[in-house]
Amino acid sequence: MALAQGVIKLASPTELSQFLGAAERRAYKQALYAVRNEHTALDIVQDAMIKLAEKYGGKPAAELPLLFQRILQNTIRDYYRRQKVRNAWMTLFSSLAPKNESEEYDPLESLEDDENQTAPAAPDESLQQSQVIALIEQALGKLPARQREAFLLRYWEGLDTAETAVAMGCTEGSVKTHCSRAAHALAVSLKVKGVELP
Amino acid sequence: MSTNINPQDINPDRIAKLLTRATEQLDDDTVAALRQARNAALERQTINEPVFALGTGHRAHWLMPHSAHQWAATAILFVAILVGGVSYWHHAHENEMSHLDVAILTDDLPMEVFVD
Repeated sequence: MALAQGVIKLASPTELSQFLGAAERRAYKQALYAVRNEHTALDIVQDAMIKLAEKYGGKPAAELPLLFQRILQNTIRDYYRRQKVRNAWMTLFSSLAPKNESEEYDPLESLEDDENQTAPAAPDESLQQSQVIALIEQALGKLPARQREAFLLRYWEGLDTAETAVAMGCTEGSVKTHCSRAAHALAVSLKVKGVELP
Repeated sequence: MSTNINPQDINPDRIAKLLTRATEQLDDDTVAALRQARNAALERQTINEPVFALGTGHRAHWLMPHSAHQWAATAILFVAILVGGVSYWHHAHENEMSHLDVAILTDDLPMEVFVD
């Protein structure tokens, strides 16, 4: 569909479907790094997709990536806010409730595999890569939320500094600072774990 | 520990590639749930047509001449309508005057002319 003389091309259902199909896995991972819960991450991604389709489904296809990232980051922030309020109430209620010492303690849950006997004997390349990925994801999960957000938007989603600033609702200077700090923290974290990236 | 580590030591593009590789290793349940979420979103997609802008633009556009020939034809039509209108007005005015002249010559003027 074209607006007036065909200058602006609006997103068709197929284009929106293609965009969401290409972006959904990264969006899920971003949400997962932020909230560290698979079900919550899925809920966040679904909310963001529905908001995009309902409110901006008729926008030009070229605007969808930035709009989706902005919606996704806002949905994650909304989750943080709700979680903060919920935690405050939980703290209040738990202080009022009678203390119940761990009745159903299962020692197997905390048993450590000291000799690492469950791991494969000879790790191949893909396993090594999986381990590196796991360490990177772990390091990303430990970053402050804004640093992780800036790093992922800038380097994973491929947004430029200005677009990242729009998606995060901050200045370009802040984006650069967050990215620099995130890169430094990741470098430290990975070096400590002995991870060398070529 | 961190003082001698340069942020340039890590390659963000390499990390991005590994993260993308991680997305390819998602389990089937998660992939299915994401597909379901996508379909739910697509069902709610609204195609916002700016009704006023689109409607007016298209109608006006359809009426406007597109080529030099069409412009010329439009100009000729406009001149013909103008000439026709002027000649009709002129003829009607002439008819009115001639009726008055005939009435004066035949001494058949209506009474209201004398009242004034």
